[in-house]
Amino acid sequence: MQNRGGVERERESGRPGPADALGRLADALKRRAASAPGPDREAKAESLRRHVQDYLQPRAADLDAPLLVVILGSTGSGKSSLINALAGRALSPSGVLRPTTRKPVAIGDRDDLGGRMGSLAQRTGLDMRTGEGARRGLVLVDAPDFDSVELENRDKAMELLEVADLAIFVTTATRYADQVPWHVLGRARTRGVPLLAVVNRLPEDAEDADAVLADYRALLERGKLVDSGAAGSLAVVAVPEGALDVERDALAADAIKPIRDALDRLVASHDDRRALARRGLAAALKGIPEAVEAIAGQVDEEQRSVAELRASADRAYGAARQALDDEIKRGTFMRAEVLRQWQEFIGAGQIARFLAEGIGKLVATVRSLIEPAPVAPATEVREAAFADLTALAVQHADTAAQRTATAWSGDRYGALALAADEALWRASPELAERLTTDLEDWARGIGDRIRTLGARRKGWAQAASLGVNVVGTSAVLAVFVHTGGLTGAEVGITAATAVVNQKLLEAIFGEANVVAFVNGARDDLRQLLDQAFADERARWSEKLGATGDPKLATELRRLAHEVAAMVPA
Amino acid sequence: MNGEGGPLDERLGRLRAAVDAAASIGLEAEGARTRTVARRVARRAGFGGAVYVMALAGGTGVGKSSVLNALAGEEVSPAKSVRPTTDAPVAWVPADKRDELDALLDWLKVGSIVTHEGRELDDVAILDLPDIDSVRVEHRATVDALLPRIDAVTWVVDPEKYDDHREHAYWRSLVPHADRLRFVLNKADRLTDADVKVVADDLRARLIASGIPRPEVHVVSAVRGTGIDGLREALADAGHAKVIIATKLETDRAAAAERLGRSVGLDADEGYRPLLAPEDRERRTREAIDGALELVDLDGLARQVRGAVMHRARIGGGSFLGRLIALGSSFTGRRGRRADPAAYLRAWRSRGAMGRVLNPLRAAMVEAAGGLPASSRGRVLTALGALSAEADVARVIDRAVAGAGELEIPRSPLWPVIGALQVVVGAVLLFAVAWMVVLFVAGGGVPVATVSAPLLGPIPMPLALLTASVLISALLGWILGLHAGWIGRRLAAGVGARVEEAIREGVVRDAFGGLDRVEEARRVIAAAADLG
Repeated sequence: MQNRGGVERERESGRPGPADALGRLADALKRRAASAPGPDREAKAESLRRHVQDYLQPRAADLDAPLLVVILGSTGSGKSSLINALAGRALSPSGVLRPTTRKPVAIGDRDDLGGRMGSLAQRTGLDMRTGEGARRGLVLVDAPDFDSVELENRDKAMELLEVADLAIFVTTATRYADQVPWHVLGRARTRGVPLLAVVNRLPEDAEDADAVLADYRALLERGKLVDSGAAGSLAVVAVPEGALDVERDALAADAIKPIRDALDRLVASHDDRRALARRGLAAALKGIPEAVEAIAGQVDEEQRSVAELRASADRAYGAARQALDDEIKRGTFMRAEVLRQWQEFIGAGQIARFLAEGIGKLVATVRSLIEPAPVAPATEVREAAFADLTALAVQHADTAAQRTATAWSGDRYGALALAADEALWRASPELAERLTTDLEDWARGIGDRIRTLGARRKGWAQAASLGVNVVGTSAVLAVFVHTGGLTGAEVGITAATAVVNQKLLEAIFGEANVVAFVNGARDDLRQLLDQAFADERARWSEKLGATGDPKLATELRRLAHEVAAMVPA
Repeated sequence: MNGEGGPLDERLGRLRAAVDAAASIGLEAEGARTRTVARRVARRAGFGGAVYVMALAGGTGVGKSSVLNALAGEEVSPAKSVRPTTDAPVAWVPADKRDELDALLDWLKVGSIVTHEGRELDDVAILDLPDIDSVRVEHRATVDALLPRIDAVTWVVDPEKYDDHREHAYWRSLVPHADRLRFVLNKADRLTDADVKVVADDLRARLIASGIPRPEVHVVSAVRGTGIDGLREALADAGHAKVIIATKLETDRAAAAERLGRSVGLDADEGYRPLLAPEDRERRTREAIDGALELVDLDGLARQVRGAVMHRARIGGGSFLGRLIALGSSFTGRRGRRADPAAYLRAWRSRGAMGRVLNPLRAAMVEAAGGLPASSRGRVLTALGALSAEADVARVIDRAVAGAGELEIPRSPLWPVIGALQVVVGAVLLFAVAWMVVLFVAGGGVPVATVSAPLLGPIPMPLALLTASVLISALLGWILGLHAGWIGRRLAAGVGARVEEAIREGVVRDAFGGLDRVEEARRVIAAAADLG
C-alpha cells in the first residue's frame, strides 16, 4: 500500500478534508433514504449512498486497492460465458433458461477478496471464487441481469454498477437496441465508470454483422459513451454467433481476446491499474453533482408539496377553530331543554330566596316552606352542557378533517398518507372522550377558584349553602351562554337563563369579580380547545413523516460540490 | 353475439349510462377512460366481422417480421439484422377482402398493406407490429395505441428474450384476452431439440404464472420454416372471425365495466352491496333524528303553543284585568318569547349545536366512503356533499319546521260566552264597588250604622255582590284556563307530532341525499358490470 489514503492523514491533522465531505455526503444520503417517500425515491438515494460509501470512499482512500470489474448485460446476453472465457474455466454455468445467473459469481486473487470486496460479497450474495483463472489486482464479477422478470436481479446489478471500477457491457445482435440496457449505460456514463463493450451472437453474414456493429457504434455515440472506454475511446468487441468453447461453457477464447488483453495489461502494470482507478474516481467525483441534483430536486419538490399540504391542514383547522369560537361566542350551542332545567331550578326554592330581596324574599321563603325543595340538577346540567360543547367541537374537527383530507387526496404524497390511515377522514375517535375529560378538569378548576374566591367574601356562607356544585355549574353556564348578539324573538331561554345565572353569580361574588372570573374561565376553555385542535392537526403532520429537514437539499448540493472539487491523489 | 345481458348495443348503452353515473359522483377521469373503451368497442363492431385482425407482437429482434414472411411464403415485411427493424405496422390481408378492410385498416393506421390470394387464411388480417422494448420509444407508443384495437394477438419470443420484465407486463395486461392469445417461440434452430423443449416448458410455466391458464405455444424457426405449418393451421382453425371479434369486444366491455365498478367499490365476486349497511344507516339516521328533535325542542314548542292558546283565550274570554295583561304582553314582547310557536320553531338554530345532527351523518358518510378505493374516496365524498352537509342539514330542518310549524291558534265559541259573562260580572262588580263608594264616601259623613242598605240575609247587598262577582270572575277565569289549557295541550300534542313526523321524514328522505345519489350511480354501474 503505497498511498495510505487521505482519510487517515486528515484524522491526524484534525482538519476536515475532501474525504470527510464524502463521509458527510454518505451520511446526508442515508438521512435522505430514511425520510424519502415511497420505495423508488428511497432506492435512488440508497443506491447513490452505496456508490459514495462503497466506491468513492474506499477508492479515494486507496487508489491501489484491487479493481472491481463487473460484467453487466441483459438476460441471456452471455455474461456467464464471458466470465468463463476470461477465467478459462466453467465458473458460472450458462444456460438456456432465463434468467440464468441468480447468484453472481466473482473471481479474484485470495489476497484481493477481503476489505470492501468482502462486505460487497456479503451484501449482494456474491459467490467468491479464487484459484485458477484469478488475476492479481482485479476482481471479476458476473452480475445478474437487469431486465428479466426477476427485479431483485436488477437491484443487484445496479448496485454492482455503482461500485465498479471497470464495467464490461455485454449485449447481443438481438438486444443491442433494447431500451433498458441504455438506461443502465446512461447511469454508467454519469457515474463515469470506464467501459469495455461486447456484442455477442453477431450474425454469420459479414455484411449483417458489420451493419449491426455500425448501428451499435452509432447508438453509443448518440449516448455519449464513446469516450468512456477503459483505454480512452470505447472499442466494441464483436463475438459471432456460435463462437463458443463448449468444454469450458464459455465464449471462444480468441473471440474475446481484446477483453482478455485489456485485463491482462491491467494485471501486468501497476501504473495502468492506478491510472484506471484514478480516471474512474475522477469521473465519478465529477458526476456526483448531477446525481445528487436528481435527488435534491426531488427533495425540493417534496418540501414544496409538504409545505402546501401543511398549509392546507393549517387553513382547515384554523377555520374550524375560528368557527367553533364564533359559535361559543354566540352562546347558542346549548340544548334548550337543558337550559330550561337549570332556569327552573334557579327560579325556584332556595336560590330564588337567595336572590330575592324585601317582600320577594318573604314570598320566596313562604313558598319554599310549601313547595318541596327541588333537587339541584347541577351535575346533570353540567354534563349535558359538556356533551353539547363536545358535539360542537367534534362537528368542527370533522369539518376540518374532511377539508384537509379532500385537499390532500388531490396530492401525490397527501393521497399516500391518506390511503395509509382511513381514520384521517374524521376527527380522531378519542376526541369526544378527551374533551369530556378535559372539560371535567376545567370545571374542577372552576370549583377550586370559587372556593378560593369565596373564602375572601362575606356572603360566602350563604352561597356555600347552595353548594359549590351549583355555583360551579352556574359559572360554567356563564361561560357557555350569554345574551351575545341575540335580539327579538330569538331572545329565548338562552338569554333568560343567562340573565338569571348572571344574577346569581353577581349576588355571590359581586359584579366586578364575576366579569374577571368568567373571563378567566373562558380563557382556560379557549386554551383547552386550542390544545385539542392542535392535537387533531398534529395527526396530519405525523403522516408527513420525517420529510422534515428543509435544509437537506441545500446540504446535499453543497456536499456534492465539495466532493466534485476533490482531486484524486 | 347476443349473449347474457342482451345484444352488444344494449350492453354498451348500459356502459355509457355507467359512465355518466360515474361522472355524476365526481369520477370523471374513470368515466372518461371507460367511455374511450365504449367508443372503441362500438367503432370496431361497426366495421363488420368478416375478417378479424391478428397482430404479431414482441420485443425487437425476436423475428416478428420473419414469422409473418414465413407464414406468407414471401417477403411481406422486411426482416433485417439492424435493430429495431419495423417502424410502422404492416398488414397482410386476403386480396378479396381488401376493400371491405379499408376502413378498418385506416382506423388501425396501417399504411402498408400486402394482399394474398391464399384460401387458407382468408378471414384474418395479420399485422406485423413494431417492437415494444427498443430505444425507439415511439415504437412502443404505436403498439400501446394499437394493441387495444386488435382482435387477437400472437406474441413472438425467442430463446434469448422470453423472460424480459417488460414482456411480462404486456402478458399480464393481455390475460383477459387469453383465449385469443398465442405464443410463438422463434429461433428454435439456435437450440438443440432437448433445449428447445426445456425452454418451451419454462416459457409455458412463466405464462401460467402470469395468469394465462393454458398457453398455446408454437415452437418455430422462421428461417428454417419449421413449425410454421402448425402455426398456420392453428390460425386457420381459430374459429369464425365473427365469434373472435364478438368475444374480444365483449371482453373489453366487461373489463371496462368491472374496472369502473372497482372504482366505486364494487366487487365482481360479491355483487352489488350498498356502501353503508342498512342497519348502520338506520342507526345513524336515528341518531340524526334524535339530534334534530333536540334542536327543534318539542317541549319548548308545546309550551309556546299552550301559551299562545292561553293568550288568545284571555283576549277572547278573560276578565277585564286579564285582557289588559294579555294585550300588554303583546307590547312588552313577553308574548313573543312565551307564546309564539311559529317564531320559536324558526329560531331552532339558536337552541343547540348542529353537530348533534351533523356528526352522525358525517360519520355515516365516512363509514360509507370506507368501502371505496382510496383513489376515489375524496372525490366521492366531495360529490356526496360531506363538506356542505352543514347547509344541507339546515335546509332539511328548515323545510320540516316550515311545513309543520304553520298553525292556526283556534278560537272556541265558549270563550266569547265566558267573555260576555265576565263583562256582566265585571259590571256587577263595578256596580257593587260604586254602591259602596256612594255609601261610604259620597254619603259624606253619614254614620255607617244609619246607612240603610238592602240586606241579603245578614250581609249587606253591596258586599254580597262584590264578593259574589269576584268569586264568579275567578271561577270563570278558572274555567277559561282549564278549557284553554285543554285545547292548548291537544293542539300542542298535534303540532308536536306533526313537527316530529316532518323531521323524521325530512332526515330519512334528504339527509342521506348525497349517499343516495352515490348508491344510485353505483347501481347503474353495477348493472353495466352485470352485477345484478
